[in-house]
Amino acid sequence: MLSIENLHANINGTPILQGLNLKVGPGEVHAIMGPNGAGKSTLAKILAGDDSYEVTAGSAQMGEEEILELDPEERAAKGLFLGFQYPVELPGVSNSYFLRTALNAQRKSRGEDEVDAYDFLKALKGNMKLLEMDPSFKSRFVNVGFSGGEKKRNEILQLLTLKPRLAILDETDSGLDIDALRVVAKGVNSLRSSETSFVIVTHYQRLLDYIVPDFVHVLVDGKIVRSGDKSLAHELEANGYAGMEA
Amino acid sequence: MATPAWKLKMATTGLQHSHPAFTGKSEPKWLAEKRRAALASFETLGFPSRRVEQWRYSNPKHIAALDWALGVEPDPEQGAQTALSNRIDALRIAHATAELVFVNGHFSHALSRGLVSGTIGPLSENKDKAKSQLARFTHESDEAFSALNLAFHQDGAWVVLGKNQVIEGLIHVIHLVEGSTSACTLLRNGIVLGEHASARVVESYSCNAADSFSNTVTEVQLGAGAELEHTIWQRNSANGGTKIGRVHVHQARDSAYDGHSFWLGGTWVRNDIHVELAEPGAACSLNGLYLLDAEQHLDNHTLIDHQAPHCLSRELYKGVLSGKSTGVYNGMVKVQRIAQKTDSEQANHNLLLSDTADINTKPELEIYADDVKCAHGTTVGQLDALALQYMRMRGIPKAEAIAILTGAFAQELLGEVEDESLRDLLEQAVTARLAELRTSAS
Repeated sequence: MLSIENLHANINGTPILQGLNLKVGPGEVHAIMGPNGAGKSTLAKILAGDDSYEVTAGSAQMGEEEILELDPEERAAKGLFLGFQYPVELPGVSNSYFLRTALNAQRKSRGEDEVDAYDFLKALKGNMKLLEMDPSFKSRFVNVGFSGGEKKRNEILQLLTLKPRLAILDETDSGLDIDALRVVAKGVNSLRSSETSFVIVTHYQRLLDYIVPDFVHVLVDGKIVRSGDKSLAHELEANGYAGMEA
Repeated sequence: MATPAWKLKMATTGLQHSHPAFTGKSEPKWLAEKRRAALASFETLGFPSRRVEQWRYSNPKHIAALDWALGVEPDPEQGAQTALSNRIDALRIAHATAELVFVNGHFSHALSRGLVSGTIGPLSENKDKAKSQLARFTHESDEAFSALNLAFHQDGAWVVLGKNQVIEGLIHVIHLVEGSTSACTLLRNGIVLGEHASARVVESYSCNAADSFSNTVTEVQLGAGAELEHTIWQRNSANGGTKIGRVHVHQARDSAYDGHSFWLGGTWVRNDIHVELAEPGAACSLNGLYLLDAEQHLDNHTLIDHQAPHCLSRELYKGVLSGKSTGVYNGMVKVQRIAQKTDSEQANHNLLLSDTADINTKPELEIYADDVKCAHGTTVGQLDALALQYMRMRGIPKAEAIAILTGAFAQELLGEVEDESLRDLLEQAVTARLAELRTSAS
């Protein structure tokens, strides 16, 4: 599903990623852990098409297709989704309008028909119920006046509505209390299937108790220095990142 | 520096030669006297120059150099009339109760509908009603273009409602300026509502003559408890000529003025609104949206004068500017010494879509009372790059994301329009105009 080879990237001339390799198969859940400044969020943003970073070498493919040259909207239409660490506010744009527009834009790009308005609303209501969101969030402006936890739930609502093939969640757990974390994990787990792969970027093991990964990678200084199964997360929790230098 | 005497002379002589009231058509004595007095005021004041603070950002120099002749009546030939009728049809609001149509300043009975004798009609046919109202509260002695307007107005729409009289539907006034000539159009509209009367009036302006000059004054007088929703809709895009318009509102006790301006065009536009909250409990709300591109120039000057205690004013102006357009917002709120418990808020927000667009924004407060609540603020910004990126990462193409964000910026003002069908029409027009702005920005 995702294949990253020897990825190097800079921001303002400072190297952040320095030869990163990662392979994610269909339906797999990969966790990427690492200390602050290791390049976890950079990796997530580069994959989604944030143009403030400069890719200097390497490749990233979804299926057979190189994605680093595509516009962000083209990557989204190919089924890539980034759950933001800090979701953005869109004053004047209602949540349901935004979601329907995004979904239809993706469908149009893939040569599919627009979604039926009734079916869309029904699915949206179902997903909001699953995420324990008040129905009023449908018509509220995207993320405007939302609490930190509400913003994260809203990201997961978008995830469930857009049903990507590859979901990258960037520190989705940061700032969440345990109840919100449980709800967010419930949403993510509801989408787990052979159709959707996940890359979960997190600083803490806590989230991985709720979204159990198939693989755990440790990212230090812009490279993956260790990979293992879920037990690696527990090891990191116990011993920290010391001794994990590249 | 005052306007050179010869330029003034050319303007006033040109208008006098082409105006029926100055070339022998008989008018009531009171009206002729008002015209003469206003002409004298204009000749004393002259055209304003940029040295006057009020005109600092809008140099009206080109106006003095115009061809000063009044707009002609539309061609009576059958084919021309049909074509004109089609153009008017495109401007109509289907659900309006009444539509008054003026072409180059001339009232058209054939194209108008829903007139009510003595209540809704042209000034030319309601002079008796207008006698005690015309220029009753306006300030011709210190406002040059109002003086010019009073001296040379051709006609105008007059809506005069008595005590408790309520018109439910929209009254729509269409002012069309067209033809190849650089004609002058001067219109004097009046909306006079008696105690507890209420109405909704829309003024549509459309102009297809780039070198033309229109000068309009709308006098609004609201009796105690009267309510008016008043929408000004400049409908043409960049090719809209020079327009200087003024709305003067005088409000009695507990009356409510709800004003909306949608400026979607005009080459060089000056728009003044002056509200006098003359008695306690009066409330006004001024909303304005201006969408500019190319080399358009638009200047909004508003003055809300709190002359009595316990009055409320709200003002929200928003602009989207593209190309090399220039915009001006100058919003003055005056609170007189007697006007305790004044509650006033004003805001101006601007979105610049190009590096070459320019906005001068200046909210002003002049407060002489001590127990008041007044707030003001302005912003100038560009499209939020993070918001744009967020939308694109969700799959919305860049152009569509920009459209949504600019539309959302304008939406706040559309949402304030009470009449739903009118709001839909305005929304279509705003959406189309924003698309033009984005094209010229990219």
